[in-house]
Amino acid sequence: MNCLTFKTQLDESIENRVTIDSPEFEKHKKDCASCAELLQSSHTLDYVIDQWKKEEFNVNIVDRVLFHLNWSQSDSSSKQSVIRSKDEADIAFSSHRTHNKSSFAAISATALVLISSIIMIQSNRDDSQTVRLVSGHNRTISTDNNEKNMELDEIIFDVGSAYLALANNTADSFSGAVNIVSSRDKNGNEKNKTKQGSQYRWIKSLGNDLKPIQKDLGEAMDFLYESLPVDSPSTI
Amino acid sequence: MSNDEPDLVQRCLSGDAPSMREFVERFQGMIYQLCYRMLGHRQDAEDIAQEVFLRAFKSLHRWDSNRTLRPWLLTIAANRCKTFYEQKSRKPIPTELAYLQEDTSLVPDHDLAEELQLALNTLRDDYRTCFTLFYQQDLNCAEIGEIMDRPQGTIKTWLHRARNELSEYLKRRGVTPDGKHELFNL
Repeated sequence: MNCLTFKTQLDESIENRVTIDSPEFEKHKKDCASCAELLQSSHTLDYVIDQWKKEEFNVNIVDRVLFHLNWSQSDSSSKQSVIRSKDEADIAFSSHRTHNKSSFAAISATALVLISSIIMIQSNRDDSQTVRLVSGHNRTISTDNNEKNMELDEIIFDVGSAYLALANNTADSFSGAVNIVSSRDKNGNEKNKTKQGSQYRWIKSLGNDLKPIQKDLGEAMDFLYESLPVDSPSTI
Repeated sequence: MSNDEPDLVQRCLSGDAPSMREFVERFQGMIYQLCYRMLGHRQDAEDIAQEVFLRAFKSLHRWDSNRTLRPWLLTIAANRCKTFYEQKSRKPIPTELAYLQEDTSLVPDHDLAEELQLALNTLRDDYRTCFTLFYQQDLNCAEIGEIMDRPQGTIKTWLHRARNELSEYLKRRGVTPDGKHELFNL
Protein backbone atom coordinates (compact mmCIF):
# COMPACT_ATOMS: atom_id res chain seq x y z
CA MET A 1 0.00 0.00 0.00
CA ASN A 2 1.27 3.45 -0.86
CA CYS A 3 0.41 6.80 0.73
CA LEU A 4 -2.19 7.67 -1.92
CA THR A 5 -4.09 4.45 -1.35
CA PHE A 6 -3.85 4.95 2.39
CA LYS A 7 -5.33 8.43 2.11
CA THR A 8 -8.05 7.28 -0.26
CA GLN A 9 -9.11 4.56 2.11
CA LEU A 10 -9.07 6.96 5.01
CA ASP A 11 -11.31 9.39 3.11
CA GLU A 12 -13.73 6.64 2.18
CA SER A 13 -13.91 5.46 5.75
CA ILE A 14 -14.85 8.98 6.80
CA GLU A 15 -17.50 9.34 4.09
CA ASN A 16 -19.03 5.93 4.80
CA ARG A 17 -18.59 6.07 8.56
CA VAL A 18 -16.69 2.82 8.75
CA THR A 19 -13.49 1.80 10.47
CA ILE A 20 -10.56 0.33 8.58
CA ASP A 21 -9.15 -2.90 9.87
CA SER A 22 -7.16 -4.23 6.95
CA PRO A 23 -3.63 -5.54 7.73
CA GLU A 24 -2.17 -3.58 4.82
CA PHE A 25 -3.54 -0.36 6.22
CA GLU A 26 -2.09 -1.10 9.66
CA LYS A 27 1.24 -2.00 8.15
CA HIS A 28 1.48 1.23 6.17
CA LYS A 29 0.59 3.20 9.27
CA LYS A 30 3.57 1.70 11.06
CA ASP A 31 5.89 2.25 8.14
CA CYS A 32 4.95 5.80 7.17
CA ALA A 33 5.20 8.52 9.79
CA SER A 34 3.32 11.17 7.84
CA CYS A 35 0.37 8.86 7.19
CA ALA A 36 0.39 7.85 10.85
CA GLU A 37 0.23 11.51 11.81
CA LEU A 38 -2.61 12.06 9.36
CA LEU A 39 -4.55 9.20 10.89
CA GLN A 40 -3.85 10.48 14.39
CA SER A 41 -5.22 13.92 13.47
CA SER A 42 -8.29 12.29 12.04
CA HIS A 43 -8.87 10.31 15.24
CA THR A 44 -8.39 13.44 17.28
CA LEU A 45 -11.01 15.27 15.26
CA ASP A 46 -13.41 12.34 15.46
CA TYR A 47 -13.09 12.31 19.23
CA VAL A 48 -13.82 16.05 19.43
CA ILE A 49 -16.79 15.61 17.06
CA ASP A 50 -18.18 12.93 19.36
CA GLN A 51 -17.99 15.34 22.30
CA TRP A 52 -19.58 18.02 20.18
CA LYS A 53 -22.44 15.74 19.15
CA LYS A 54 -23.18 14.80 22.76
CA GLU A 55 -24.27 18.30 23.61
CA GLU A 56 -27.99 18.33 24.24
CA PHE A 57 -30.35 21.20 23.66
CA ASN A 58 -33.65 21.83 25.31
CA VAL A 59 -35.59 24.24 23.23
CA ASN A 60 -39.27 25.00 23.02
CA ILE A 61 -40.27 27.48 20.37
CA VAL A 62 -43.73 26.04 19.78
CA ASP A 63 -45.58 28.88 21.47
CA ARG A 64 -43.42 31.49 19.77
CA VAL A 65 -44.05 30.03 16.35
CA LEU A 66 -47.80 29.63 16.89
CA PHE A 67 -48.06 33.14 18.30
CA HIS A 68 -46.33 34.66 15.28
CA LEU A 69 -48.30 32.45 12.97
CA ASN A 70 -51.60 33.66 14.45
CA TRP A 71 -50.36 37.21 14.46
CA SER A 72 -49.31 37.15 10.82
CA GLN A 73 -52.60 35.54 9.82
CA SER A 74 -54.66 38.09 11.73
CA ASP A 75 -52.50 40.89 10.38
CA SER A 76 -53.04 39.63 6.85
CA SER A 77 -56.80 39.41 7.34
CA SER A 78 -56.92 42.88 8.90
CA LYS A 79 -55.06 44.29 5.92
CA GLN A 80 -57.55 42.64 3.65
CA SER A 81 -60.42 44.08 5.62
CA VAL A 82 -58.93 47.57 5.52
CA ILE A 83 -58.71 47.58 1.76
CA ARG A 84 -62.04 46.09 0.82
CA SER A 85 -62.69 47.57 -2.54
CA LYS A 86 -60.79 48.69 -5.57
CA ASP A 87 -61.86 52.30 -5.04
CA GLU A 88 -60.44 52.31 -1.58
CA ALA A 89 -57.25 50.66 -2.80
CA ASP A 90 -56.92 53.36 -5.42
CA ILE A 91 -57.34 56.02 -2.78
CA ALA A 92 -54.67 54.40 -0.62
CA PHE A 93 -52.31 54.17 -3.60
CA SER A 94 -53.01 57.78 -4.49
CA SER A 95 -52.22 58.92 -0.97
CA HIS A 96 -49.03 56.87 -1.06
CA ARG A 97 -47.92 58.61 -4.24
CA THR A 98 -48.84 61.97 -2.74
CA HIS A 99 -46.81 61.15 0.30
CA ASN A 100 -43.79 60.32 -1.86
CA LYS A 101 -44.23 63.55 -3.76
CA SER A 102 -44.44 65.48 -0.51
CA SER A 103 -41.31 63.85 0.84
CA PHE A 104 -39.44 64.80 -2.32
CA ALA A 105 -40.66 68.38 -2.04
CA ALA A 106 -39.60 68.59 1.60
CA ILE A 107 -36.11 67.30 0.78
CA SER A 108 -35.80 69.73 -2.11
CA ALA A 109 -36.87 72.62 0.09
CA THR A 110 -34.28 71.71 2.70
CA ALA A 111 -31.60 71.52 0.03
CA LEU A 112 -32.51 74.99 -1.22
CA VAL A 113 -32.25 76.41 2.28
CA LEU A 114 -28.80 74.91 2.58
CA ILE A 115 -27.75 76.42 -0.76
CA SER A 116 -28.98 79.85 0.23
CA SER A 117 -27.11 79.57 3.53
CA ILE A 118 -23.92 78.68 1.70
CA ILE A 119 -24.35 81.68 -0.61
CA MET A 120 -24.79 83.95 2.36
CA ILE A 121 -21.75 82.60 4.17
CA GLN A 122 -19.65 82.89 1.03
CA SER A 123 -20.68 86.49 0.47
CA ASN A 124 -19.66 87.32 4.04
CA ARG A 125 -16.25 85.77 3.46
CA ASP A 126 -15.69 87.57 0.17
CA ASP A 127 -16.52 90.96 1.49
CA SER A 128 -15.21 91.82 4.94
CA GLN A 129 -16.96 95.19 4.94
CA THR A 130 -20.34 93.68 4.37
CA VAL A 131 -22.37 92.18 7.16
CA ARG A 132 -25.36 90.11 6.20
CA LEU A 133 -27.79 88.27 8.36
CA VAL A 134 -30.57 86.32 6.75
CA SER A 135 -32.95 86.38 9.61
CA GLY A 136 -31.51 89.33 11.53
CA HIS A 137 -32.14 93.02 10.96
CA ASN A 138 -28.62 94.45 10.74
CA ARG A 139 -27.56 95.17 7.27
CA THR A 140 -24.53 97.08 6.02
CA ILE A 141 -23.74 97.43 2.37
CA SER A 142 -20.47 98.88 1.22
CA THR A 143 -20.44 101.31 -1.68
CA ASP A 144 -17.88 99.31 -3.66
CA ASN A 145 -19.86 96.15 -3.51
CA ASN A 146 -23.30 97.63 -3.77
CA GLU A 147 -23.94 96.29 -7.25
CA LYS A 148 -22.65 92.85 -6.36
CA ASN A 149 -24.79 92.77 -3.27
CA MET A 150 -27.87 93.71 -5.26
CA GLU A 151 -27.23 90.71 -7.48
CA LEU A 152 -26.84 88.53 -4.44
CA ASP A 153 -30.10 89.90 -3.12
CA GLU A 154 -31.83 88.83 -6.28
CA ILE A 155 -30.34 85.35 -6.09
CA ILE A 156 -31.31 84.99 -2.47
CA PHE A 157 -34.77 86.25 -3.21
CA ASP A 158 -35.18 83.76 -6.05
CA VAL A 159 -33.96 80.90 -3.90
CA GLY A 160 -36.16 82.00 -1.05
CA SER A 161 -39.19 82.28 -3.31
CA ALA A 162 -38.56 78.83 -4.67
CA TYR A 163 -38.29 77.54 -1.14
CA LEU A 164 -41.54 79.20 -0.16
CA ALA A 165 -43.30 77.74 -3.17
CA LEU A 166 -42.01 74.28 -2.35
CA ALA A 167 -42.86 74.62 1.31
CA ASN A 168 -46.34 75.75 0.38
CA ASN A 169 -46.68 72.86 -2.04
CA THR A 170 -45.42 70.47 0.62
CA ALA A 171 -47.94 71.64 3.18
CA ASP A 172 -50.73 71.41 0.62
CA SER A 173 -49.61 67.94 -0.40
CA PHE A 174 -49.55 66.73 3.17
CA SER A 175 -52.97 68.19 3.75
CA GLY A 176 -54.16 66.66 0.50
CA ALA A 177 -52.92 63.22 1.53
CA VAL A 178 -54.68 63.52 4.84
CA ASN A 179 -57.87 64.73 3.21
CA ILE A 180 -57.87 61.95 0.63
CA VAL A 181 -57.35 59.23 3.16
CA SER A 182 -59.32 60.49 6.08
CA SER A 183 -62.36 62.07 4.53
CA ARG A 184 -63.67 59.37 2.21
CA ASP A 185 -65.10 55.95 2.73
CA LYS A 186 -65.04 53.02 0.32
CA ASN A 187 -67.86 54.52 -1.73
CA GLY A 188 -66.07 57.81 -2.07
CA ASN A 189 -68.48 59.56 0.30
CA GLU A 190 -67.28 62.10 2.80
CA LYS A 191 -66.81 60.99 6.39
CA ASN A 192 -65.27 62.57 9.44
CA LYS A 193 -62.66 60.12 10.72
CA THR A 194 -61.38 56.73 9.63
CA LYS A 195 -58.80 54.19 10.67
CA GLN A 196 -56.68 55.15 7.69
CA GLY A 197 -56.88 58.80 8.71
CA SER A 198 -55.38 57.97 12.06
CA GLN A 199 -52.49 56.24 10.31
CA TYR A 200 -51.69 59.46 8.49
CA ARG A 201 -52.10 61.71 11.52
CA TRP A 202 -48.35 62.33 11.63
CA ILE A 203 -48.51 63.80 8.12
CA LYS A 204 -51.18 66.24 9.19
CA SER A 205 -49.11 67.16 12.22
CA LEU A 206 -46.07 67.75 10.03
CA GLY A 207 -48.12 69.94 7.70
CA ASN A 208 -49.21 72.06 10.64
CA ASP A 209 -45.63 72.34 11.85
CA LEU A 210 -44.61 73.79 8.49
CA LYS A 211 -47.07 76.68 8.70
CA PRO A 212 -45.13 78.90 11.17
CA ILE A 213 -41.88 78.25 9.29
CA GLN A 214 -43.56 79.41 6.13
CA LYS A 215 -44.62 82.63 7.82
CA ASP A 216 -41.14 83.36 9.22
CA LEU A 217 -39.48 82.75 5.91
CA GLY A 218 -41.98 84.97 4.17
CA GLU A 219 -41.10 87.82 6.47
CA ALA A 220 -37.40 87.24 5.94
CA MET A 221 -37.82 87.26 2.17
CA ASP A 222 -39.85 90.46 2.31
CA PHE A 223 -37.09 92.07 4.30
CA LEU A 224 -34.46 91.02 1.82
CA TYR A 225 -36.51 92.10 -1.12
CA GLU A 226 -37.08 95.57 0.20
CA SER A 227 -33.30 95.71 1.02
CA LEU A 228 -33.52 98.72 3.27
CA PRO A 229 -30.22 99.49 5.02
CA VAL A 230 -30.72 99.89 8.73
CA ASP A 231 -27.17 101.01 9.61
CA SER A 232 -25.93 104.56 9.38
CA PRO A 233 -25.94 106.09 5.88
CA SER A 234 -22.23 106.88 6.15
CA THR A 235 -21.36 103.27 5.56
CA ILE A 236 -23.20 103.14 2.25
CA MET B 1 -40.32 8.55 6.48
CA SER B 2 -43.24 8.86 8.87
CA ASN B 3 -46.38 7.60 7.21
CA ASP B 4 -48.50 10.24 8.80
CA GLU B 5 -46.56 13.17 7.33
CA PRO B 6 -48.96 13.87 4.41
CA ASP B 7 -51.87 13.69 6.81
CA LEU B 8 -50.17 16.02 9.26
CA VAL B 9 -49.43 18.48 6.48
CA GLN B 10 -53.03 18.38 5.27
CA ARG B 11 -54.29 19.12 8.76
CA CYS B 12 -51.84 22.00 9.07
CA LEU B 13 -52.96 23.38 5.73
CA SER B 14 -56.56 23.30 6.90
CA GLY B 15 -55.52 25.53 9.81
CA ASP B 16 -55.81 22.97 12.58
CA ALA B 17 -53.90 24.50 15.52
CA PRO B 18 -53.13 21.24 17.40
CA SER B 19 -51.64 19.82 14.22
CA MET B 20 -49.47 22.87 13.76
CA ARG B 21 -48.30 22.47 17.33
CA GLU B 22 -47.50 18.83 16.66
CA PHE B 23 -45.60 19.80 13.52
CA VAL B 24 -43.38 22.25 15.38
CA GLU B 25 -42.87 19.94 18.34
CA ARG B 26 -41.78 17.14 16.05
CA PHE B 27 -39.11 19.09 14.17
CA GLN B 28 -38.06 21.92 16.46
CA GLY B 29 -35.12 20.02 18.00
CA MET B 30 -33.68 19.10 14.64
CA ILE B 31 -34.07 22.59 13.21
CA TYR B 32 -32.76 24.33 16.31
CA GLN B 33 -29.69 22.11 16.48
CA LEU B 34 -28.81 22.82 12.88
CA CYS B 35 -29.32 26.54 13.37
CA TYR B 36 -27.26 26.61 16.53
CA ARG B 37 -24.43 24.65 14.95
CA MET B 38 -24.50 26.93 11.94
CA LEU B 39 -24.75 30.22 13.81
CA GLY B 40 -23.01 29.46 17.12
CA HIS B 41 -25.45 31.64 19.05
CA ARG B 42 -28.46 30.35 20.95
CA GLN B 43 -30.68 33.40 20.63
CA ASP B 44 -29.97 33.78 16.94
CA ALA B 45 -30.64 30.08 16.49
CA GLU B 46 -34.03 30.38 18.18
CA ASP B 47 -34.96 33.35 16.02
CA ILE B 48 -33.94 31.62 12.82
CA ALA B 49 -35.61 28.36 13.82
CA GLN B 50 -38.81 30.29 14.40
CA GLU B 51 -38.44 31.93 11.01
CA VAL B 52 -37.89 28.53 9.41
CA PHE B 53 -41.19 27.25 10.74
CA LEU B 54 -43.05 30.37 9.69
CA ARG B 55 -41.66 30.00 6.18
CA ALA B 56 -42.41 26.32 6.17
CA PHE B 57 -46.05 26.90 7.07
CA LYS B 58 -46.26 29.62 4.46
CA SER B 59 -45.07 27.31 1.68
CA LEU B 60 -46.40 24.03 3.02
CA HIS B 61 -48.77 23.76 0.08
CA ARG B 62 -45.73 23.45 -2.19
CA TRP B 63 -44.27 20.50 -0.29
CA ASP B 64 -43.92 17.37 -2.42
CA SER B 65 -45.59 14.54 -0.51
CA ASN B 66 -43.29 12.04 -2.22
CA ARG B 67 -40.41 13.47 -0.21
CA THR B 68 -39.98 13.39 3.54
CA LEU B 69 -40.42 16.55 5.52
CA ARG B 70 -36.99 16.34 7.13
CA PRO B 71 -34.78 17.24 4.13
CA TRP B 72 -37.32 19.81 3.00
CA LEU B 73 -37.19 21.57 6.37
CA LEU B 74 -33.41 21.22 6.58
CA THR B 75 -33.11 22.89 3.18
CA ILE B 76 -35.13 25.87 4.39
CA ALA B 77 -33.09 26.00 7.59
CA ALA B 78 -29.74 25.80 5.81
CA ASN B 79 -30.74 28.58 3.43
CA ARG B 80 -32.01 30.80 6.24
CA CYS B 81 -28.82 30.27 8.23
CA LYS B 82 -26.70 31.06 5.21
CA THR B 83 -28.59 34.27 4.55
CA PHE B 84 -28.39 35.27 8.19
CA TYR B 85 -24.69 34.53 8.40
CA GLU B 86 -23.97 36.54 5.26
CA GLN B 87 -25.83 39.51 6.68
CA LYS B 88 -24.11 39.14 10.02
CA SER B 89 -20.64 38.82 8.52
CA ARG B 90 -21.04 42.22 6.88
CA LYS B 91 -21.43 43.81 10.30
CA PRO B 92 -18.43 44.60 12.55
CA ILE B 93 -17.45 41.78 14.91
CA PRO B 94 -18.26 42.61 18.53
CA THR B 95 -15.16 43.15 20.67
CA GLU B 96 -15.90 40.25 22.98
CA LEU B 97 -15.96 37.86 20.04
CA ALA B 98 -13.14 39.34 18.00
CA TYR B 99 -10.40 37.85 20.18
CA LEU B 100 -11.75 34.38 19.54
CA GLN B 101 -11.24 34.82 15.84
CA GLU B 102 -7.82 36.40 15.95
CA ASP B 103 -5.90 35.24 18.98
CA THR B 104 -4.89 31.65 18.44
CA SER B 105 -2.36 31.62 21.25
CA LEU B 106 -4.96 31.24 23.99
CA VAL B 107 -5.05 27.93 25.75
CA PRO B 108 -8.66 26.80 25.76
CA ASP B 109 -10.25 26.39 29.15
CA HIS B 110 -13.66 25.43 27.89
CA ASP B 111 -14.50 21.95 26.78
CA LEU B 112 -13.83 20.32 23.48
CA ALA B 113 -17.35 20.74 22.15
CA GLU B 114 -17.12 24.51 22.54
CA GLU B 115 -13.69 24.44 20.97
CA LEU B 116 -15.07 22.70 17.93
CA GLN B 117 -18.00 25.10 17.79
CA LEU B 118 -15.54 28.00 17.72
CA ALA B 119 -13.60 26.25 15.00
CA LEU B 120 -16.78 25.77 12.99
CA ASN B 121 -17.42 29.49 13.08
CA THR B 122 -14.19 30.06 11.18
CA LEU B 123 -15.22 27.84 8.26
CA ARG B 124 -16.82 29.22 5.15
CA ASP B 125 -20.57 28.78 4.94
CA ASP B 126 -20.63 25.85 2.54
CA TYR B 127 -18.14 23.83 4.53
CA ARG B 128 -19.90 24.52 7.80
CA THR B 129 -23.30 23.55 6.40
CA CYS B 130 -21.90 20.41 4.88
CA PHE B 131 -20.07 19.41 8.05
CA THR B 132 -23.07 20.10 10.29
CA LEU B 133 -25.48 18.16 8.12
CA PHE B 134 -23.07 15.23 7.96
CA TYR B 135 -22.18 14.98 11.63
CA GLN B 136 -25.05 16.65 13.45
CA GLN B 137 -27.91 15.39 11.30
CA ASP B 138 -26.19 12.15 10.27
CA LEU B 139 -27.05 12.62 6.62
CA ASN B 140 -24.98 11.00 3.89
CA CYS B 141 -23.27 12.89 1.09
CA ALA B 142 -26.06 12.21 -1.40
CA GLU B 143 -28.71 13.64 0.94
CA ILE B 144 -26.57 16.65 1.69
CA GLY B 145 -26.07 17.18 -2.02
CA GLU B 146 -29.83 17.23 -2.46
CA ILE B 147 -30.29 19.76 0.31
CA MET B 148 -27.46 22.01 -0.80
CA ASP B 149 -28.21 21.49 -4.48
CA ARG B 150 -24.68 20.37 -5.26
CA PRO B 151 -23.18 17.17 -6.77
CA GLN B 152 -22.19 14.45 -4.37
CA GLY B 153 -18.53 14.83 -5.36
CA THR B 154 -18.58 18.48 -4.34
CA ILE B 155 -20.06 17.57 -0.98
CA LYS B 156 -17.31 15.02 -0.38
CA THR B 157 -14.66 17.58 -1.24
CA TRP B 158 -16.22 20.14 1.08
CA LEU B 159 -16.50 17.61 3.88
CA HIS B 160 -12.81 16.74 3.71
CA ARG B 161 -11.75 20.34 3.41
CA ALA B 162 -13.89 21.19 6.42
CA ARG B 163 -12.27 18.39 8.40
CA ASN B 164 -8.77 19.49 7.36
CA GLU B 165 -9.42 23.08 8.34
CA LEU B 166 -10.93 22.04 11.65
CA SER B 167 -7.93 19.82 12.39
CA GLU B 168 -5.58 22.69 11.64
CA TYR B 169 -7.58 25.02 13.85
CA LEU B 170 -7.58 22.56 16.72
CA LYS B 171 -3.83 22.12 16.35
CA ARG B 172 -3.31 25.86 16.56
CA ARG B 173 -5.47 25.95 19.66
CA GLY B 174 -3.44 23.26 21.34
CA VAL B 175 -5.97 20.49 20.89
CA THR B 176 -3.56 17.92 19.53
CA PRO B 177 -2.28 14.56 20.65
CA ASP B 178 0.95 16.31 21.64
CA GLY B 179 -0.77 19.37 23.03
CA LYS B 180 -2.07 20.39 26.40
CA HIS B 181 -5.17 18.24 26.25
CA GLU B 182 -4.05 15.06 27.91
CA LEU B 183 -7.01 13.24 26.47
CA PHE B 184 -5.13 12.93 23.23
CA ASN B 185 -1.87 11.55 24.46
CA LEU B 186 -2.76 8.35 22.71
